[in-house]
Amino acid sequence: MEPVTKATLQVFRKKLSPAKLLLPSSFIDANEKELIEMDFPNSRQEAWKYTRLNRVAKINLESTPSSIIDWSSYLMVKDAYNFVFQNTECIYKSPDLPKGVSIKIGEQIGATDWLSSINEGHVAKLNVAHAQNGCVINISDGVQVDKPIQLIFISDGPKQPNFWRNQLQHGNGAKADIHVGYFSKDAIDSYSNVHWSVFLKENSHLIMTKIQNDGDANYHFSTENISQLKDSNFTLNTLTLDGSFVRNDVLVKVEGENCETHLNGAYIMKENQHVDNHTTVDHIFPNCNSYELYKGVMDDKSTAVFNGKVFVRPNAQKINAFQSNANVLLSNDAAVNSKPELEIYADDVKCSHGSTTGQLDEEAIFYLRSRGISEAAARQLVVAAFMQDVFLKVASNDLKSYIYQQLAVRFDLYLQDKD
Amino acid sequence: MITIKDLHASIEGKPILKGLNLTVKAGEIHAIMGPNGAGKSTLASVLAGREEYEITQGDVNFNGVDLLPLSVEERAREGLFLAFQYPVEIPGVSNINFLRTALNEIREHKGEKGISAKDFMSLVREKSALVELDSKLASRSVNEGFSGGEKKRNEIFQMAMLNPILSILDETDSGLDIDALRIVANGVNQLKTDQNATIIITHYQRLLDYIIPDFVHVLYDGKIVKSGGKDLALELEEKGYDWIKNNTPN
Repeated sequence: MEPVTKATLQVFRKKLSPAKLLLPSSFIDANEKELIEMDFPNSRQEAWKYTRLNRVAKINLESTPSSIIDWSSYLMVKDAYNFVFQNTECIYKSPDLPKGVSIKIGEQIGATDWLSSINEGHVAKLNVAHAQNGCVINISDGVQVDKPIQLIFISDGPKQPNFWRNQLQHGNGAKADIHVGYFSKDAIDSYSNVHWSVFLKENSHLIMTKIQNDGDANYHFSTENISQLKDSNFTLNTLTLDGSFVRNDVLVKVEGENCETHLNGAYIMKENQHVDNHTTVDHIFPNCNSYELYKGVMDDKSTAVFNGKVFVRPNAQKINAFQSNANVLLSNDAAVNSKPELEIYADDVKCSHGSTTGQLDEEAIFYLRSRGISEAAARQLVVAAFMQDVFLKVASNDLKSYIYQQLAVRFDLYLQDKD
Repeated sequence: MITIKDLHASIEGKPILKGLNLTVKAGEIHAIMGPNGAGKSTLASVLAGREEYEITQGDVNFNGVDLLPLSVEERAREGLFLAFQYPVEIPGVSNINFLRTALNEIREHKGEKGISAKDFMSLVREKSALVELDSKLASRSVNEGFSGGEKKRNEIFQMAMLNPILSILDETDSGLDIDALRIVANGVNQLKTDQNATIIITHYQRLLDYIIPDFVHVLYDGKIVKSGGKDLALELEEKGYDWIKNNTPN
């Protein structure tokens, strides 16, 4: 007999430790009560229609001791202010930080350090209930951070649960490039749940590039809630290079005039991997632009979901919102469910969306091979060319090289797998 | 250089080449002419290694190597070059970068060292001048937004860069105006040495006014039915392909 529905989420939580991070009572009070009433959503719920949680619900999470790792091998770029988390521990902290930047880790974070936060749905609520570690970054007004701040999160061991919670407050006129990398080691039925709240103050400029490179059987849930005040410019690059199950929920609330929002995504999936990108851009104020570009390459029996929602509230006139999702299927068994949603309540706006799904141009591959280029290199060239407009949005050249290098490894492996 | 013996090839079960024999020696230019559907482009495709074609019989010896078991890229590295009838546009892949990768793969295959960026760029300048290809085009995405003539000139530019020992020009003259035709032919003529060879596949005699072949072969119904010197092309032009069809026993 299957357990009665409400029990599943509670069974799943049974061995999870309560939150170790000190969170404000405004986060916690209602959360537990609501969570106890909840279950894993099923496919009748629109937001989870194509992302089944049956397998997640069945895993038995249990914390295991961490192994000794060479954290430096996980750094995507060398020249950065680095912070490395391995399961519940922060195993490396940059010894220096530029003036005007503070980063508190784990126990250093007090309840009053957390600003308001949106915690809707079971993923975000689980994060509040079980957050073990994370960071609170404050970048002061007018600070231009000279090097990227790079945060690496490593899930280590089978059945390992990880709940990381982070916050970034970006001061007036501040400018920064943040790299976030997610990795796993020896993961089997492991589970990562990471939450980010990001606040951009006036006239600030922020690029966040998120690399999801979970090689093993790790279930990865990522939530980003972003708030933008007037004249700010925000870019989020979500690059899913590897991972058996990835769900990204991005919500951007544009809470001031004259803002620019860029959401870019690339996903390269194989085998039975699944990636789901849910994005919402909520235009509350007039005179803003948002641009969304997600591209995917799908092989074997992998599946992808793209759901991009744009709200334009009644007073938000003169909005330009563009959205595009393009996919290439490398196999007959791969599938993509792509769904744009526009809800427009203002009358003087320009919004567009487009979605395409096709195949890699075999004639192009033949052409390149006929000049002496190996099949692996030809495929990689054509895939990289297809993905290029997303990769070009990544600010740091070092990080771009890292991405291309990962791609090269991936496509050589891809061919060896087939032989 | 290349010896094709009793080559039979079919696509989706339909025989196209039905016992083709051809020998090309270093320093020679051969023209293969024939009516539509005779198998001209199939011959180019089979030699380049297109996988849709099934070789049912025969063999091809290329410079001492058994060509047919080789992959497309291995053939290219052995020194075979196909100038495409319809060059493919590949958005996002830079013409220069892909050529440098290709050239280095070929050099590595020959046991040579990779070319330096500086030497490569001077080679690009030299060879693009040969086909009057704007060096800006050379650095754009492969064939993207090129005119028909520019695409064909880009084919000959690539041929010049890769320096193959056997080049197969598949209907390179199709769609070219007279100036582009002259430029392309001029490029091919300048690349000719006594070490390399060229097979020109064409429907019309026109190109052969500019590139003088040593031999002309007529391909009809999957076989070479007539061979001769450059005058054969003129005779064909005058009498038409019906002359061949009516004189070929089925």
